[in-house]
Amino acid sequence: MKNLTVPAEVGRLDDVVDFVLEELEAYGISFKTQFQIRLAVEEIFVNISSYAYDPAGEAEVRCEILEDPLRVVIQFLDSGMPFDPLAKDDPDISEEGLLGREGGLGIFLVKDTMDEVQYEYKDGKNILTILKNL
Amino acid sequence: MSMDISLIKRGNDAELKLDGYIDATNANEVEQVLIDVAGQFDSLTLDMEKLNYVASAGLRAFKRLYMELRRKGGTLSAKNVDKAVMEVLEVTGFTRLFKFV
Repeated sequence: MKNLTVPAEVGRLDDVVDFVLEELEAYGISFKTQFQIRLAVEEIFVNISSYAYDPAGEAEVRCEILEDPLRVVIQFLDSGMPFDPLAKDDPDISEEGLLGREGGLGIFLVKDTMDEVQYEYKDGKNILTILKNL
Repeated sequence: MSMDISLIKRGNDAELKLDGYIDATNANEVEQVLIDVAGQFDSLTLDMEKLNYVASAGLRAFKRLYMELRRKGGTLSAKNVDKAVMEVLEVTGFTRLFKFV
């Protein structure tokens, strides 16, 4: 398992995405799977950067590739205010909802693209774990 | 370069070719360009052939563009959308913003 700790700032998104995609590089994954993983990583990291801390804090990203079946597990840890992103309802994607507030789009896309999404609050940290079969 | 945008003027309408990606690091900039262009034309078509990635930040830029054009009675169209991008538009309902041509 590899890990990366960065300030939880949107400007560091590229570092986080590059870190994860580099771990996956040796596995020859499809464009679409790579797209979906990049998307989930972005939405989670951007949420942490936007909401977890005031003032800014750090985010730790852990990435592990497991076999049988081949899958990637990515964990995001932050010490910000306790927040379970899975506890909210999905956004309203009807026409009206679309043109109104669209909070929750990010986590909705994470749930759509990933095979498993789990949250726990442990030892003072928000821990969000995503899993994608490769 | 994260996104190159080229413009083809067609009378009072225009086509924008998007080359690159829209994520949280560049979405504000991209949105500003889209809104500026929308101010000069009646309707816009986004050619997404070379748009290789879009995240929710990009969807918000599209939504703002849609509302800007709708306000003036114009249409937002899209063409050559990549499968992975299309899936994001579909699952979020954002396909509703576009006329696909």
